[in-house]
Amino acid sequence: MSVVLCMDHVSFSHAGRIVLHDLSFGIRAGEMTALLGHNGAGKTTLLRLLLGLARPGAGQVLLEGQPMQAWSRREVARRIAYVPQGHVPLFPYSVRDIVGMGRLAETPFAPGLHRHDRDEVTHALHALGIIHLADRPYTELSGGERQAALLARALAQGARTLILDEPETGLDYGQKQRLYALLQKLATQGHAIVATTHDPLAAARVFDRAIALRQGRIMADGPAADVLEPSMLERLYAPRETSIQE
Amino acid sequence: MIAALATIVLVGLAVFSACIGRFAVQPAQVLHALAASLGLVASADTPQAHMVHSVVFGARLPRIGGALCVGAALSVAGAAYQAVFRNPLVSPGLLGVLAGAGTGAALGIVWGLGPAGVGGLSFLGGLLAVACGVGVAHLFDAASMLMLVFGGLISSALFTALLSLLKYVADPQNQLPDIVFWLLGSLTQVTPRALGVMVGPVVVGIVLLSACGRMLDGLAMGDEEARTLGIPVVALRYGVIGAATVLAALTVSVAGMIGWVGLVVPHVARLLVGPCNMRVLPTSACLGGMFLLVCDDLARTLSVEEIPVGLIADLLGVALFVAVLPLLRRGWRA
Repeated sequence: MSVVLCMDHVSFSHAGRIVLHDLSFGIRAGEMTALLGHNGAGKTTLLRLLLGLARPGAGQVLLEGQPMQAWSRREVARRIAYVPQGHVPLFPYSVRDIVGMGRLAETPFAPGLHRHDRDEVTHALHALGIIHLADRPYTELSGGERQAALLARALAQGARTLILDEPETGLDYGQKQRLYALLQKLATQGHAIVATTHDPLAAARVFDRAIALRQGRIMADGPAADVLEPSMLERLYAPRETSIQE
Repeated sequence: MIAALATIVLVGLAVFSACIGRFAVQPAQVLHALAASLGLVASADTPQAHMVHSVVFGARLPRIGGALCVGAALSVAGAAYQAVFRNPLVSPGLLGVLAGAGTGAALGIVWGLGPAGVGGLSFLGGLLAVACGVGVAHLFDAASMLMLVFGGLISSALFTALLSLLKYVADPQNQLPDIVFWLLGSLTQVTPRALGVMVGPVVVGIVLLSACGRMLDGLAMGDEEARTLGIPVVALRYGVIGAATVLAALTVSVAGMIGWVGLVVPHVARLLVGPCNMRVLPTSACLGGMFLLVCDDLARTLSVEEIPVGLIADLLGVALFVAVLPLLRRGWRA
């Protein structure tokens, strides 16, 4: 499996505080990687670095072997798609409009989507089983439906690497199982999947690999079932040293 | 289909506008004069025909063109600003362009410049005010939208103060009435030449902004998400602000302060064609042009004395906004 996205001795500080300290790892095609850690461990910052939204203070992020800043935003968008936690825009775009935004990197200018783009959008809507929602306003969807629309947008984007921010938030049991099944299917098709998660038990079952982050450092990186065993989880989520000692 | 319908309504409205006024003209006469000027039919050589020709071409058509251009430019600028700032309550005046252009015009009047000089200074004043607003934002955090809004607030306040100063020092007999009249907004000054200068940039601006419509939709999802979709957010934001500012400053330099149109019309456009900016922007331009043309017709015909069109546009705009407000609430996130 080839490395598509790689952190090379990356450090990042914000307002004088070190958020991430000397991280190195590679994201491989066909692999599902879970990113775990306590709140404030630096997961969100790590995602922003992987997406090229933030620049590392030291070290570099490499996309297909090239430094992230050497790529244009459009070129990055063709390779990495982001599935944020669902939030709602002010204006009532239809689900089809939202998924169509995944084609912006290919067809940025109006008048509109080409036939090929529209096919990709329809295909993504089918893949997520939300074709019946296509003309509904995105603003009126439930949390799970919104998540599905954002995932469809990521598929329509055509990128081989998917980065998801706590994708299971707000989903019921059945929706979670379907989400995991879909992610596993995408991984077998060669997509690289990276997701932050607050559910280590599900992650141990579903993901291939887990990276455990504690106070801005990698505490463990390996097969998910090995990393996420009880004693490790206890240490990973233990109260921090800065908190009051008992 | 919709475009064809809009064109028919627009042409009909323009012909109707050319007919009304102190010197009444029949629609057939207007069409005949138009056809004659295009060389389609022989022009009649009667005093009546000459009169129609001079009224239609000398006075009314430039004014109709001016109303269409100014209304379209302000509305498309307003829609673009609303998309860039992700806020439906934003008007083209947000970054100070109207205050700056008004100040420039007042300065031109105080210096005793002619109409072209006043228009030119007004245009430059509008650009300068927005440059000040953006500059203030750059001093702190250029990427932050909040800082841009603060910069615009500061710049608007500054130029409004300068405008007050100019009013204070202006000669109360001659210059002050001119400044006040200018600020009320009027299309009486639109000459064929001024219209000729304006048409090109307005058309180009509307086409450019509309072409960015899909990227502006992406911007609605937030800056970071837009970047992951492949949108060059900062370049897009400044490009669109630049184009919309040029359009808004142009309108003030030709017709004085008519601002409110730019806030109201995009809402009506969204009600008609949905939230996608590639449709909202051209629709806003079209509706804005028609709206201001109707306002100007009223300004010309309501009383013997001409009423400033800015006044009518504000009053009609308020009525329109109140009328569509209940519909808007349904469309927005509650």
